[in-house]
Amino acid sequence: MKIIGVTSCSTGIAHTYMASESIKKAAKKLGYVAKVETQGSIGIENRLTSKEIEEADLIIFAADLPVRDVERFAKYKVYECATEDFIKNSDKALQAAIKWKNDQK
Amino acid sequence: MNVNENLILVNLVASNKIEALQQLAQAALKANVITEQSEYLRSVEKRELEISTNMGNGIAIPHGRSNVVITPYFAFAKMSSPIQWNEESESNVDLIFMLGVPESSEPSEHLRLLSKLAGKLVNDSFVDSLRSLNNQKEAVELFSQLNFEEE
Repeated sequence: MKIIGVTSCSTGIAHTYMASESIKKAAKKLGYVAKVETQGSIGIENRLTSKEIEEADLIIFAADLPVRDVERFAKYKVYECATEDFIKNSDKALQAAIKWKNDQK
Repeated sequence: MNVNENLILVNLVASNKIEALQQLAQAALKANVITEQSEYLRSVEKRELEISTNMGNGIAIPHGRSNVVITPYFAFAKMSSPIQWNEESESNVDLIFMLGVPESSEPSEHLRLLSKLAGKLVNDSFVDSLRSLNNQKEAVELFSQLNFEEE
């Protein structure tokens, strides 16, 4: 499964980056690789390409602020939650996202 | 990453969150990375009210953006014993990273390092090594050896 995500928070210093690593860590545990775009105080890093967005099986926004350049995702369904969900319990948060995706069908 | 040893407090004794934050802010003042304590602490509290910086796993990352911050920095405290962070029955905290960022900060290498450091705190083995620190010297060594290559 290809997982991508976007994280952001109001100061863009801590939560954004902890959430990003938490998504990657939880994905790795399940044998998946996740790419996460961080929208923080140092700007947008690991920017997702249109190809990556198109090919993704699961798109997660763990964002406390509106996602920048959100029109890139307009054609796709996105699982939205708070940074805290992934920071506090990344396994549970990812399971919830995967369940959501499976329920879409 | 380079660390100022004055910003590293190992086995800090504080009976509550406010005391711990005050001691960290005092260290920041002594290290000349902030110009004034109370204004900085207000920015930290403001952020804390928006969202708890208790990240679970015994780690808190209180942080503030304020014009009394001279340069982006982090101060670290390993508590002598865990303290309560929130009123609610959330996990107690024994590792504190206090971050400060100037009000109008351009993306910089300093900021980048802080973001990498925050990300590193989901790495269990790094957190274990923080918990096993005995003194300031070991902490400075651990941080100076820290690399942020992809794992």
